[in-house]
Amino acid sequence: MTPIADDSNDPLNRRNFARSLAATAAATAATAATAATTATTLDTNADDADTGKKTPLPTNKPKPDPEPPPPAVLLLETVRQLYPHKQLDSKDVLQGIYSEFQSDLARSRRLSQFPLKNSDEPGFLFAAFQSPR
Amino acid sequence: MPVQDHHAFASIRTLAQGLRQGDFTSLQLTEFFLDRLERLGPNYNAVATVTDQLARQQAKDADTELAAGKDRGPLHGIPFGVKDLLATRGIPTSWGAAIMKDRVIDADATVVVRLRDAGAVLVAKLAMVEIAGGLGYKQANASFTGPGLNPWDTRRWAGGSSSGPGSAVSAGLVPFAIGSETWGSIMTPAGFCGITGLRPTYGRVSRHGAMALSWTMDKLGPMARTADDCGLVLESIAGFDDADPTSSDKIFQWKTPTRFEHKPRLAIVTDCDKHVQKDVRKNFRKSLKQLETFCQISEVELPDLPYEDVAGTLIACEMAAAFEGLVTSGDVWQMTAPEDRYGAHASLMIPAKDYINAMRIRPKIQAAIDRLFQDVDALVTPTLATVAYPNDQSFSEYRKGHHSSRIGGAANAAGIPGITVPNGFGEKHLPTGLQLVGQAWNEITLLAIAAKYQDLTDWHKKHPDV
Repeated sequence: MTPIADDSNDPLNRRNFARSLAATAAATAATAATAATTATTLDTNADDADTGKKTPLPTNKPKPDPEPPPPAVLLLETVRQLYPHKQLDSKDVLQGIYSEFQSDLARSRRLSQFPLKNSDEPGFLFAAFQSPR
Repeated sequence: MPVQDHHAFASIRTLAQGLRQGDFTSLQLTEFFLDRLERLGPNYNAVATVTDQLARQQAKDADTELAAGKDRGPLHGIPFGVKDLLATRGIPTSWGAAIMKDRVIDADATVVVRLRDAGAVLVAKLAMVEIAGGLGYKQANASFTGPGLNPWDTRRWAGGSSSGPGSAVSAGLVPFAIGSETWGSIMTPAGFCGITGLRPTYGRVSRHGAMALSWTMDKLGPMARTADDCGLVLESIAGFDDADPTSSDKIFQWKTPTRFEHKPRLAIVTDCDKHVQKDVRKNFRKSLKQLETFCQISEVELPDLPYEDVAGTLIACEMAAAFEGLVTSGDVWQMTAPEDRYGAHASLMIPAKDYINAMRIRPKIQAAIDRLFQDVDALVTPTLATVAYPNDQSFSEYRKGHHSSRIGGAANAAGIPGITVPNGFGEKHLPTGLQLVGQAWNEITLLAIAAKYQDLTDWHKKHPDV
Protein backbone atom coordinates (compact mmCIF):
# COMPACT_ATOMS: atom_id res chain seq x y z
CA MET A 1 0.00 0.00 0.00
CA THR A 2 1.17 3.50 -0.76
CA PRO A 3 0.66 6.07 2.00
CA ILE A 4 -1.71 8.87 1.07
CA ALA A 5 -1.28 12.48 2.11
CA ASP A 6 -2.45 12.82 5.68
CA ASP A 7 -2.14 16.20 7.26
CA SER A 8 -4.60 15.41 10.05
CA ASN A 9 -1.83 14.37 12.42
CA ASP A 10 -1.14 16.90 15.06
CA PRO A 11 1.76 15.34 16.94
CA LEU A 12 1.60 15.94 20.62
CA ASN A 13 4.70 17.59 21.93
CA ARG A 14 6.56 15.91 24.75
CA ARG A 15 5.34 18.32 27.39
CA ASN A 16 1.68 17.92 26.45
CA PHE A 17 2.09 14.22 26.10
CA ALA A 18 3.65 13.91 29.54
CA ARG A 19 0.84 16.07 30.88
CA SER A 20 -1.79 13.84 29.26
CA LEU A 21 -0.19 10.71 30.63
CA ALA A 22 -0.06 12.29 34.05
CA ALA A 23 -3.73 13.14 33.65
CA THR A 24 -4.44 9.52 32.77
CA ALA A 25 -2.66 8.35 35.87
CA ALA A 26 -4.52 10.91 37.94
CA ALA A 27 -7.82 9.94 36.37
CA THR A 28 -7.13 6.27 36.99
CA ALA A 29 -6.33 6.98 40.62
CA ALA A 30 -9.36 9.23 40.94
CA THR A 31 -11.60 6.60 39.39
CA ALA A 32 -10.30 3.99 41.80
CA ALA A 33 -10.84 6.35 44.74
CA THR A 34 -14.33 7.26 43.56
CA ALA A 35 -15.16 3.61 43.13
CA ALA A 36 -14.03 2.87 46.68
CA THR A 37 -16.08 5.78 48.08
CA THR A 38 -19.11 4.74 46.09
CA ALA A 39 -18.77 1.18 47.30
CA THR A 40 -18.62 2.36 50.93
CA THR A 41 -21.60 4.66 50.43
CA LEU A 42 -23.63 1.89 48.86
CA ASP A 43 -22.76 -0.46 51.68
CA THR A 44 -23.79 2.17 54.23
CA ASN A 45 -27.06 2.84 52.44
CA ALA A 46 -27.76 -0.87 52.32
CA ASP A 47 -27.31 -1.04 56.09
CA ASP A 48 -29.63 1.92 56.41
CA ALA A 49 -32.29 0.20 54.40
CA ASP A 50 -32.15 -2.81 56.67
CA THR A 51 -32.25 -0.86 59.92
CA GLY A 52 -34.46 1.98 58.79
CA LYS A 53 -32.06 4.43 60.37
CA LYS A 54 -30.95 7.50 58.51
CA THR A 55 -27.20 8.01 58.43
CA PRO A 56 -25.99 11.59 58.16
CA LEU A 57 -24.38 12.42 54.82
CA PRO A 58 -20.60 12.70 54.91
CA THR A 59 -19.50 16.24 55.53
CA ASN A 60 -16.52 16.19 53.18
CA LYS A 61 -18.13 16.32 49.73
CA PRO A 62 -16.30 14.42 46.96
CA LYS A 63 -14.05 16.61 44.86
CA PRO A 64 -15.19 17.19 41.29
CA ASP A 65 -13.74 14.67 38.83
CA PRO A 66 -10.64 15.85 37.00
CA GLU A 67 -11.11 16.50 33.30
CA PRO A 68 -11.08 13.11 31.61
CA PRO A 69 -8.06 12.39 29.43
CA PRO A 70 -8.57 12.56 25.67
CA PRO A 71 -9.64 9.35 23.89
CA ALA A 72 -6.24 8.91 22.24
CA VAL A 73 -4.58 8.81 25.66
CA LEU A 74 -7.11 6.29 26.94
CA LEU A 75 -6.52 4.13 23.87
CA LEU A 76 -2.81 4.39 24.44
CA GLU A 77 -3.21 3.21 28.00
CA THR A 78 -5.40 0.33 26.75
CA VAL A 79 -2.67 -0.73 24.35
CA ARG A 80 -0.13 -0.60 27.18
CA GLN A 81 -2.34 -2.88 29.26
CA LEU A 82 -3.32 -5.33 26.52
CA TYR A 83 0.02 -5.55 24.72
CA PRO A 84 2.64 -4.79 27.37
CA HIS A 85 6.18 -4.39 26.12
CA LYS A 86 9.22 -2.54 27.41
CA GLN A 87 9.32 -0.49 24.21
CA LEU A 88 6.07 1.07 25.33
CA ASP A 89 8.00 2.87 28.07
CA SER A 90 9.69 5.04 25.44
CA LYS A 91 8.19 8.48 24.97
CA ASP A 92 9.08 8.49 21.27
CA VAL A 93 7.19 5.25 20.75
CA LEU A 94 4.21 6.49 22.72
CA GLN A 95 4.27 9.71 20.77
CA GLY A 96 4.26 7.75 17.50
CA ILE A 97 1.34 5.56 18.51
CA TYR A 98 -0.50 8.56 19.92
CA SER A 99 -0.23 10.33 16.55
CA GLU A 100 -1.67 7.25 14.83
CA PHE A 101 -4.59 7.25 17.27
CA GLN A 102 -5.32 10.90 16.57
CA SER A 103 -5.36 10.16 12.86
CA ASP A 104 -7.59 7.08 13.31
CA LEU A 105 -10.00 8.95 15.57
CA ALA A 106 -10.28 11.79 13.06
CA ARG A 107 -11.07 9.27 10.33
CA SER A 108 -13.60 7.57 12.59
CA ARG A 109 -15.38 10.88 13.20
CA ARG A 110 -15.55 11.56 9.46
CA LEU A 111 -16.93 8.08 8.77
CA SER A 112 -19.59 8.54 11.45
CA GLN A 113 -20.78 11.69 9.74
CA PHE A 114 -21.67 9.82 6.57
CA PRO A 115 -25.45 9.45 6.43
CA LEU A 116 -26.45 5.79 6.53
CA LYS A 117 -29.95 4.36 6.69
CA ASN A 118 -30.81 1.30 8.72
CA SER A 119 -31.34 -0.57 5.46
CA ASP A 120 -27.80 0.12 4.23
CA GLU A 121 -26.24 -3.31 4.52
CA PRO A 122 -22.51 -3.99 4.61
CA GLY A 123 -20.97 -5.13 1.35
CA PHE A 124 -20.00 -8.51 2.70
CA LEU A 125 -20.37 -11.52 0.49
CA PHE A 126 -21.41 -14.37 2.70
CA ALA A 127 -23.12 -17.61 1.76
CA ALA A 128 -24.05 -20.81 3.53
CA PHE A 129 -21.41 -23.42 2.96
CA GLN A 130 -21.81 -27.05 2.00
CA SER A 131 -18.73 -29.13 1.36
CA PRO A 132 -18.64 -30.91 -2.01
CA ARG A 133 -19.95 -34.50 -1.79
CA MET B 1 22.18 -12.98 -32.71
CA PRO B 2 22.98 -13.73 -29.07
CA VAL B 3 21.44 -11.89 -26.17
CA GLN B 4 22.53 -8.25 -26.28
CA ASP B 5 22.29 -5.34 -23.89
CA HIS B 6 19.21 -3.90 -25.59
CA HIS B 7 17.32 -7.08 -24.77
CA ALA B 8 17.30 -5.94 -21.15
CA PHE B 9 14.63 -3.46 -22.18
CA ALA B 10 12.86 -5.49 -24.86
CA SER B 11 9.16 -6.32 -24.77
CA ILE B 12 7.90 -9.83 -24.13
CA ARG B 13 6.88 -10.25 -27.77
CA THR B 14 10.36 -9.24 -28.95
CA LEU B 15 12.02 -11.72 -26.59
CA ALA B 16 9.52 -14.43 -27.51
CA GLN B 17 10.30 -13.88 -31.18
CA GLY B 18 14.05 -14.09 -30.48
CA LEU B 19 13.53 -17.42 -28.73
CA ARG B 20 11.52 -18.88 -31.57
CA GLN B 21 13.87 -17.58 -34.25
CA GLY B 22 16.74 -19.29 -32.47
CA ASP B 23 18.52 -15.99 -31.77
CA PHE B 24 19.06 -17.21 -28.22
CA THR B 25 17.80 -19.88 -25.87
CA SER B 26 15.78 -19.42 -22.72
CA LEU B 27 18.84 -20.50 -20.74
CA GLN B 28 20.95 -17.79 -22.36
CA LEU B 29 18.26 -15.22 -21.73
CA THR B 30 17.93 -16.40 -18.15
CA GLU B 31 21.68 -16.21 -17.55
CA PHE B 32 21.63 -12.69 -19.00
CA PHE B 33 18.97 -11.53 -16.53
CA LEU B 34 20.48 -13.47 -13.60
CA ASP B 35 23.72 -11.64 -14.22
CA ARG B 36 21.95 -8.28 -14.25
CA LEU B 37 20.05 -9.14 -11.07
CA GLU B 38 23.24 -10.12 -9.25
CA ARG B 39 25.31 -7.25 -10.60
CA LEU B 40 22.84 -4.36 -10.71
CA GLY B 41 20.10 -5.44 -8.29
CA PRO B 42 21.99 -4.20 -5.19
CA ASN B 43 22.28 -0.72 -6.74
CA TYR B 44 18.52 -0.34 -6.30
CA ASN B 45 17.83 -2.61 -3.31
CA ALA B 46 15.58 -4.34 -5.80
CA VAL B 47 16.06 -7.99 -4.96
CA ALA B 48 15.15 -10.17 -1.99
CA THR B 49 16.32 -13.50 -3.44
CA VAL B 50 17.77 -14.48 -6.80
CA THR B 51 16.26 -17.86 -7.65
CA ASP B 52 19.13 -18.95 -9.86
CA GLN B 53 18.93 -22.73 -9.45
CA LEU B 54 15.20 -22.89 -10.07
CA ALA B 55 15.54 -20.45 -12.97
CA ARG B 56 18.23 -22.47 -14.74
CA GLN B 57 16.15 -25.64 -14.44
CA GLN B 58 12.98 -23.94 -15.68
CA ALA B 59 14.90 -22.37 -18.57
CA LYS B 60 16.37 -25.73 -19.60
CA ASP B 61 12.89 -27.25 -19.47
CA ALA B 62 11.53 -24.40 -21.58
CA ASP B 63 14.25 -24.90 -24.17
CA THR B 64 13.65 -28.65 -24.29
CA GLU B 65 9.93 -28.17 -24.84
CA LEU B 66 10.36 -25.48 -27.51
CA ALA B 67 12.87 -27.67 -29.31
CA ALA B 68 10.36 -30.52 -29.20
CA GLY B 69 7.67 -28.31 -30.69
CA LYS B 70 5.73 -27.80 -27.46
CA ASP B 71 4.98 -24.08 -27.28
CA ARG B 72 3.16 -22.85 -24.19
CA GLY B 73 2.59 -19.38 -25.58
CA PRO B 74 4.19 -15.94 -25.48
CA LEU B 75 5.60 -16.25 -21.94
CA HIS B 76 7.33 -19.57 -22.68
CA GLY B 77 11.00 -19.22 -21.74
CA ILE B 78 10.66 -15.57 -20.59
CA PRO B 79 12.29 -14.70 -17.23
CA PHE B 80 10.26 -12.78 -14.65
CA GLY B 81 10.28 -11.74 -10.99
CA VAL B 82 7.61 -11.65 -8.30
CA LYS B 83 7.12 -9.35 -5.35
CA ASP B 84 8.36 -11.19 -2.28
CA LEU B 85 4.87 -11.60 -0.85
CA LEU B 86 4.09 -14.51 -3.16
CA ALA B 87 4.82 -17.91 -1.66
CA THR B 88 7.37 -20.05 -3.48
CA ARG B 89 8.13 -23.58 -2.39
CA GLY B 90 11.67 -24.00 -1.09
CA ILE B 91 12.56 -20.33 -1.50
CA PRO B 92 12.29 -17.71 1.27
CA THR B 93 9.27 -15.42 1.26
CA SER B 94 10.00 -12.40 3.43
CA TRP B 95 7.03 -10.04 3.01
CA GLY B 96 9.77 -7.38 3.20
CA ALA B 97 10.20 -7.89 6.95
CA ALA B 98 13.56 -8.58 8.62
CA ILE B 99 12.04 -11.11 11.00
CA MET B 100 10.78 -13.19 8.07
CA LYS B 101 13.72 -12.87 5.71
CA ASP B 102 14.61 -16.57 5.97
CA ARG B 103 11.07 -17.90 6.34
CA VAL B 104 10.10 -20.52 3.77
CA ILE B 105 6.45 -21.20 2.98
CA ASP B 106 6.13 -24.72 1.67
CA ALA B 107 3.77 -23.93 -1.19
CA ASP B 108 3.58 -22.01 -4.44
CA ALA B 109 1.15 -19.15 -4.90
CA THR B 110 -1.41 -19.75 -7.63
CA VAL B 111 0.09 -16.93 -9.72
CA VAL B 112 3.51 -18.57 -9.50
CA VAL B 113 2.00 -21.89 -10.61
CA ARG B 114 0.14 -20.28 -13.50
CA LEU B 115 3.24 -18.52 -14.79
CA ARG B 116 5.19 -21.75 -14.50
CA ASP B 117 2.45 -23.49 -16.48
CA ALA B 118 2.78 -20.75 -19.09
CA GLY B 119 6.47 -21.66 -19.38
CA ALA B 120 7.82 -18.48 -17.76
CA VAL B 121 11.06 -18.64 -15.77
CA LEU B 122 11.15 -17.32 -12.20
CA VAL B 123 14.48 -15.54 -11.74
CA ALA B 124 13.92 -13.49 -8.58
CA LYS B 125 11.81 -12.66 -5.58
CA LEU B 126 11.76 -8.89 -5.62
CA ALA B 127 12.03 -6.46 -2.72
CA MET B 128 9.03 -4.76 -1.21
CA VAL B 129 8.01 -2.48 1.63
CA GLU B 130 7.59 -4.53 4.81
CA ILE B 131 4.10 -6.01 5.19
CA ALA B 132 3.21 -4.32 1.89
CA GLY B 133 3.12 -0.97 3.65
CA GLY B 134 0.08 -1.86 5.72
CA LEU B 135 1.65 -0.76 8.98
CA GLY B 136 1.71 2.88 7.91
CA TYR B 137 5.23 3.71 6.68
CA LYS B 138 5.84 7.36 5.96
CA GLN B 139 9.30 7.38 4.35
CA ALA B 140 11.34 5.24 1.99
CA ASN B 141 13.39 3.19 4.44
CA ALA B 142 10.78 0.59 5.32
CA SER B 143 12.16 -2.79 4.25
CA PHE B 144 14.88 -5.12 5.41
CA THR B 145 16.41 -4.77 1.95
CA GLY B 146 16.72 -1.00 2.43
CA PRO B 147 14.81 1.77 0.70
CA GLY B 148 13.78 0.96 -2.87
CA LEU B 149 16.05 3.13 -5.03
CA ASN B 150 14.82 4.58 -8.29
CA PRO B 151 16.92 3.55 -11.32
CA TRP B 152 16.39 7.03 -12.83
CA ASP B 153 18.06 8.59 -9.80
CA THR B 154 19.06 6.50 -6.83
CA ARG B 155 18.59 9.49 -4.53
CA ARG B 156 14.88 9.07 -5.22
CA TRP B 157 12.42 6.42 -4.08
CA ALA B 158 11.29 3.60 -6.36
CA GLY B 159 7.77 3.79 -4.92
CA GLY B 160 5.93 1.22 -2.88
CA SER B 161 4.99 -1.13 -1.80
CA SER B 162 5.99 -3.05 -4.98
CA SER B 163 9.35 -1.28 -4.99
CA GLY B 164 11.41 -4.20 -6.33
CA PRO B 165 9.08 -4.99 -9.24
CA GLY B 166 9.11 -1.28 -10.15
CA SER B 167 12.87 -0.78 -10.07
CA ALA B 168 13.75 -4.21 -11.48
CA VAL B 169 11.59 -3.77 -14.58
CA SER B 170 12.75 -0.17 -14.99
CA ALA B 171 16.45 -1.12 -14.75
CA GLY B 172 16.07 -4.07 -17.12
CA LEU B 173 16.71 -6.72 -14.47
CA VAL B 174 13.57 -8.64 -15.49
CA PRO B 175 11.29 -8.31 -18.52
CA PHE B 176 8.20 -8.26 -16.30
CA ALA B 177 7.19 -8.74 -12.69
CA ILE B 178 4.15 -9.40 -10.56
CA GLY B 179 3.26 -6.74 -8.03
CA SER B 180 0.36 -6.31 -5.67
CA GLU B 181 -1.89 -3.38 -4.93
CA THR B 182 -4.11 -2.82 -1.95
CA TRP B 183 -4.10 0.93 -2.47
CA GLY B 184 -1.48 2.36 -4.82
CA SER B 185 1.20 -0.33 -4.60
CA ILE B 186 1.34 -1.09 -8.32
CA MET B 187 0.46 2.32 -9.71
CA THR B 188 2.94 4.25 -7.55
CA PRO B 189 6.16 2.29 -8.25
CA ALA B 190 5.18 1.88 -11.90
CA GLY B 191 4.58 5.63 -12.15
CA PHE B 192 7.75 6.62 -10.31
CA CYS B 193 9.94 4.17 -12.24
CA GLY B 194 8.53 4.96 -15.68
CA ILE B 195 7.06 1.55 -16.53
CA THR B 196 3.60 0.21 -17.33
CA GLY B 197 1.58 -1.21 -14.43
CA LEU B 198 -1.85 -2.82 -14.44
CA ARG B 199 -4.07 -3.10 -11.39
CA PRO B 200 -6.68 -5.70 -12.31
CA THR B 201 -10.25 -5.84 -11.04
CA TYR B 202 -10.53 -7.31 -7.54
CA GLY B 203 -11.07 -11.05 -8.06
CA ARG B 204 -9.57 -11.17 -11.55
CA VAL B 205 -6.38 -12.83 -10.26
CA SER B 206 -6.25 -15.42 -7.49
CA ARG B 207 -4.69 -14.14 -4.27
CA HIS B 208 -3.95 -17.65 -3.02
CA GLY B 209 -0.42 -17.80 -1.67
CA ALA B 210 -0.05 -14.03 -1.51
CA MET B 211 0.41 -12.31 1.83
CA ALA B 212 -2.97 -11.02 2.92
CA LEU B 213 -2.86 -7.40 3.95
CA SER B 214 -6.53 -6.77 3.27
CA TRP B 215 -8.62 -9.71 2.10
CA THR B 216 -11.22 -7.48 0.49
CA MET B 217 -8.83 -5.10 -1.24
CA ASP B 218 -5.66 -6.97 -2.29
CA LYS B 219 -5.04 -7.38 -6.03
CA LEU B 220 -2.14 -8.93 -7.94
CA GLY B 221 -1.11 -7.55 -11.30
CA PRO B 222 1.63 -7.24 -13.92
CA MET B 223 4.32 -4.56 -14.05
CA ALA B 224 6.06 -4.51 -17.40
CA ARG B 225 7.38 -2.40 -20.28
CA THR B 226 4.19 -2.05 -22.29
CA ALA B 227 0.44 -2.38 -22.08
CA ASP B 228 0.72 -5.27 -24.53
CA ASP B 229 3.08 -7.07 -22.13
CA CYS B 230 0.64 -6.48 -19.26
CA GLY B 231 -2.16 -7.97 -21.36
CA LEU B 232 -0.12 -11.07 -22.13
CA VAL B 233 0.76 -11.59 -18.48
CA LEU B 234 -2.78 -10.95 -17.24
CA GLU B 235 -4.15 -13.54 -19.64
CA SER B 236 -1.81 -16.11 -18.09
CA ILE B 237 -2.64 -15.37 -14.46
CA ALA B 238 -6.35 -14.49 -14.57
CA GLY B 239 -9.20 -16.84 -13.80
CA PHE B 240 -10.99 -18.80 -11.12
CA ASP B 241 -9.05 -20.67 -8.49
CA ASP B 242 -10.60 -23.10 -6.03
CA ALA B 243 -8.17 -21.87 -3.41
CA ASP B 244 -9.44 -18.28 -3.62
CA PRO B 245 -13.22 -18.10 -3.39
CA THR B 246 -13.15 -14.42 -4.36
CA SER B 247 -11.55 -15.20 -7.72
CA SER B 248 -13.76 -14.93 -10.79
CA ASP B 249 -14.35 -17.36 -13.63
CA LYS B 250 -14.74 -14.51 -16.12
CA ILE B 251 -12.54 -15.12 -19.13
CA PHE B 252 -9.80 -12.67 -20.00
CA GLN B 253 -8.14 -12.98 -23.40
CA TRP B 254 -5.70 -10.45 -24.76
CA LYS B 255 -4.70 -9.66 -28.28
CA THR B 256 -3.43 -6.35 -29.53
CA PRO B 257 -6.40 -4.56 -31.05
CA THR B 258 -6.03 -3.60 -34.67
CA ARG B 259 -8.84 -1.06 -34.49
CA PHE B 260 -11.52 0.12 -32.08
CA GLU B 261 -15.18 -0.68 -32.75
CA HIS B 262 -15.99 2.84 -31.67
CA LYS B 263 -13.88 5.80 -30.70
CA PRO B 264 -13.06 5.23 -27.00
CA ARG B 265 -14.78 7.71 -24.70
CA LEU B 266 -12.49 9.11 -22.04
CA ALA B 267 -13.39 11.46 -19.23
CA ILE B 268 -10.91 13.67 -17.43
CA VAL B 269 -11.61 13.68 -13.72
CA THR B 270 -12.38 17.29 -12.83
CA ASP B 271 -9.48 19.13 -11.21
CA CYS B 272 -7.26 16.05 -11.39
CA ASP B 273 -4.26 18.16 -12.45
CA LYS B 274 -4.96 21.12 -10.22
CA HIS B 275 -2.64 20.23 -7.37
CA VAL B 276 0.12 18.42 -9.23
CA GLN B 277 3.65 19.51 -10.10
CA LYS B 278 3.96 21.81 -13.11
CA ASP B 279 5.67 19.20 -15.31
CA VAL B 280 3.16 16.55 -14.33
CA ARG B 281 0.38 18.89 -15.53
CA LYS B 282 2.25 19.78 -18.72
CA ASN B 283 2.83 16.12 -19.60
CA PHE B 284 -0.77 15.25 -18.79
CA ARG B 285 -2.07 17.96 -21.14
CA LYS B 286 0.27 16.73 -23.89
CA SER B 287 -0.98 13.20 -23.37
CA LEU B 288 -4.57 14.37 -23.73
CA LYS B 289 -3.71 15.85 -27.11
CA GLN B 290 -2.32 12.50 -28.20
CA LEU B 291 -5.34 10.65 -26.82
CA GLU B 292 -7.64 13.06 -28.65
CA THR B 293 -6.34 11.72 -31.94
CA PHE B 294 -8.24 8.48 -31.36
CA CYS B 295 -10.54 9.11 -28.38
CA GLN B 296 -13.47 11.36 -27.51
CA ILE B 297 -12.64 13.28 -24.38
CA SER B 298 -15.08 14.79 -21.92
CA GLU B 299 -14.91 15.68 -18.25
CA VAL B 300 -16.54 14.11 -15.23
CA GLU B 301 -16.73 15.01 -11.57
CA LEU B 302 -16.21 12.32 -8.96
CA PRO B 303 -19.17 12.03 -6.58
CA ASP B 304 -18.32 13.40 -3.14
CA LEU B 305 -17.98 10.23 -1.08
CA PRO B 306 -15.53 9.29 1.68
CA TYR B 307 -13.31 7.11 -0.51
CA GLU B 308 -10.11 7.52 1.48
CA ASP B 309 -11.78 7.03 4.85
CA VAL B 310 -13.52 3.87 3.68
CA ALA B 311 -10.43 2.38 2.03
CA GLY B 312 -8.21 3.39 4.95
CA THR B 313 -10.54 1.90 7.54
CA LEU B 314 -10.96 -1.37 5.67
CA ILE B 315 -7.23 -1.80 5.22
CA ALA B 316 -6.34 -0.81 8.79
CA CYS B 317 -8.92 -3.15 10.35
CA GLU B 318 -8.14 -6.12 8.13
CA MET B 319 -4.41 -5.55 8.67
CA ALA B 320 -4.95 -5.41 12.44
CA ALA B 321 -6.73 -8.76 12.33
CA ALA B 322 -4.12 -10.31 10.04
CA PHE B 323 -1.11 -9.05 11.96
CA GLU B 324 -2.08 -8.83 15.62
CA GLY B 325 0.45 -11.63 16.09
CA LEU B 326 3.26 -9.22 15.21
CA VAL B 327 2.28 -7.14 18.22
CA THR B 328 1.63 -9.97 20.69
CA SER B 329 4.90 -11.67 19.78
CA GLY B 330 6.86 -8.43 19.97
CA ASP B 331 8.12 -8.98 16.41
CA VAL B 332 6.64 -5.65 15.41
CA TRP B 333 9.51 -3.94 17.24
CA GLN B 334 11.88 -5.34 14.64
CA MET B 335 10.19 -3.55 11.76
CA THR B 336 12.63 -1.36 9.83
CA ALA B 337 10.52 1.80 9.81
CA PRO B 338 9.83 3.14 13.33
CA GLU B 339 6.37 4.29 12.25
CA ASP B 340 5.51 0.71 11.24
CA ARG B 341 5.91 -0.25 14.90
CA TYR B 342 3.29 2.33 15.87
CA GLY B 343 0.67 1.80 13.20
CA ALA B 344 0.22 -1.85 14.07
CA HIS B 345 -0.65 -0.93 17.65
CA ALA B 346 -3.02 1.89 16.80
CA SER B 347 -5.04 -0.11 14.26
CA LEU B 348 -5.85 -2.71 16.90
CA MET B 349 -8.07 -0.19 18.67
CA ILE B 350 -10.33 0.80 15.76
CA PRO B 351 -13.91 -0.05 16.78
CA ALA B 352 -15.81 -2.74 14.88
CA LYS B 353 -18.56 -0.28 14.00
CA ASP B 354 -16.10 1.72 11.91
CA TYR B 355 -15.24 -1.33 9.85
CA ILE B 356 -18.88 -2.24 9.39
CA ASN B 357 -19.85 1.29 8.48
CA ALA B 358 -17.03 1.43 5.95
CA MET B 359 -18.45 -1.79 4.48
CA ARG B 360 -21.89 -0.18 4.41
CA ILE B 361 -20.61 2.84 2.52
CA ARG B 362 -18.58 0.70 0.11
CA PRO B 363 -21.52 -0.46 -2.07
CA LYS B 364 -22.55 3.17 -2.46
CA ILE B 365 -19.06 3.96 -3.71
CA GLN B 366 -19.19 1.02 -6.10
CA ALA B 367 -22.56 2.05 -7.51
CA ALA B 368 -21.63 5.72 -7.81
CA ILE B 369 -18.35 4.99 -9.58
CA ASP B 370 -19.95 2.39 -11.83
CA ARG B 371 -22.54 4.98 -12.95
CA LEU B 372 -19.68 7.11 -14.31
CA PHE B 373 -19.00 4.40 -16.85
CA GLN B 374 -22.47 4.54 -18.41
CA ASP B 375 -21.21 7.19 -20.78
CA VAL B 376 -17.46 6.73 -20.78
CA ASP B 377 -15.03 3.86 -21.27
CA ALA B 378 -12.29 5.13 -19.00
CA LEU B 379 -11.39 7.94 -16.64
CA VAL B 380 -8.08 9.65 -17.20
CA THR B 381 -5.81 11.46 -14.74
CA PRO B 382 -2.13 11.95 -14.02
CA THR B 383 -0.95 8.82 -12.20
CA LEU B 384 0.70 10.75 -9.37
CA ALA B 385 0.91 14.37 -8.27
CA THR B 386 4.70 14.50 -8.24
CA VAL B 387 7.75 12.69 -9.50
CA ALA B 388 9.49 10.20 -7.20
CA TYR B 389 10.12 11.46 -3.68
CA PRO B 390 13.65 12.01 -2.33
CA ASN B 391 14.83 9.14 -0.15
CA ASP B 392 15.88 11.42 2.67
CA GLN B 393 12.58 13.22 3.16
CA SER B 394 9.27 12.10 4.61
CA PHE B 395 6.65 11.64 1.92
CA SER B 396 4.39 14.31 3.33
CA GLU B 397 7.24 16.81 3.47
CA TYR B 398 8.07 16.46 -0.22
CA ARG B 399 4.54 16.41 -1.57
CA LYS B 400 3.34 19.29 0.57
CA GLY B 401 0.79 21.27 -1.42
CA HIS B 402 0.45 18.53 -4.03
CA HIS B 403 -2.08 15.78 -4.19
CA SER B 404 -3.43 13.59 -6.92
CA SER B 405 -7.03 12.93 -7.86
CA ARG B 406 -9.22 11.04 -5.40
CA ILE B 407 -9.70 8.35 -8.04
CA GLY B 408 -6.99 6.18 -6.42
CA GLY B 409 -8.93 5.72 -3.20
CA ALA B 410 -12.23 5.47 -5.06
CA ALA B 411 -11.00 2.84 -7.52
CA ASN B 412 -9.40 0.68 -4.84
CA ALA B 413 -12.43 0.90 -2.56
CA ALA B 414 -14.59 -0.07 -5.55
CA GLY B 415 -12.22 -2.82 -6.71
CA ILE B 416 -12.01 -1.57 -10.30
CA PRO B 417 -9.03 -1.76 -12.66
CA GLY B 418 -6.47 0.87 -13.61
CA ILE B 419 -3.37 1.16 -15.73
CA THR B 420 -0.45 3.57 -15.69
CA VAL B 421 1.82 4.28 -18.62
CA PRO B 422 4.84 6.58 -18.74
CA ASN B 423 4.06 9.92 -20.40
CA GLY B 424 7.19 12.06 -20.06
CA PHE B 425 9.67 13.44 -17.57
CA GLY B 426 9.37 16.01 -14.85
CA GLU B 427 11.58 17.51 -12.16
CA LYS B 428 15.19 16.20 -12.29
CA HIS B 429 14.34 14.16 -15.39
CA LEU B 430 12.21 11.73 -13.40
CA PRO B 431 9.32 9.90 -15.09
CA THR B 432 5.69 10.97 -14.92
CA GLY B 433 2.68 8.80 -15.67
CA LEU B 434 -0.77 8.78 -17.23
CA GLN B 435 -3.49 6.77 -15.50
CA LEU B 436 -6.61 5.21 -16.98
CA VAL B 437 -9.30 3.73 -14.74
CA GLY B 438 -12.06 1.51 -16.07
CA GLN B 439 -15.24 -0.30 -15.18
CA ALA B 440 -15.01 -3.56 -13.28
CA TRP B 441 -13.81 -6.43 -15.50
CA ASN B 442 -12.99 -4.05 -18.36
CA GLU B 443 -9.21 -4.29 -18.32
CA ILE B 444 -9.33 -5.02 -22.03
CA THR B 445 -10.44 -1.48 -22.88
CA LEU B 446 -7.80 0.08 -20.64
CA LEU B 447 -5.11 -2.09 -22.18
CA ALA B 448 -6.29 -1.34 -25.70
CA ILE B 449 -6.29 2.44 -25.14
CA ALA B 450 -2.92 2.29 -23.40
CA ALA B 451 -1.46 0.12 -26.19
CA LYS B 452 -2.67 2.58 -28.82
CA TYR B 453 -1.19 5.46 -26.82
CA GLN B 454 2.12 3.61 -26.75
CA ASP B 455 1.90 3.11 -30.52
CA LEU B 456 1.84 6.89 -30.81
CA THR B 457 4.53 7.68 -28.23
CA ASP B 458 7.89 6.33 -27.18
CA TRP B 459 8.00 7.13 -23.47
CA HIS B 460 7.77 3.42 -22.67
CA LYS B 461 10.92 2.85 -24.71
CA LYS B 462 13.00 5.23 -22.60
CA HIS B 463 15.06 3.62 -19.91
CA PRO B 464 17.54 4.78 -17.32
CA ASP B 465 21.28 4.46 -17.83
CA VAL B 466 22.19 1.56 -15.61
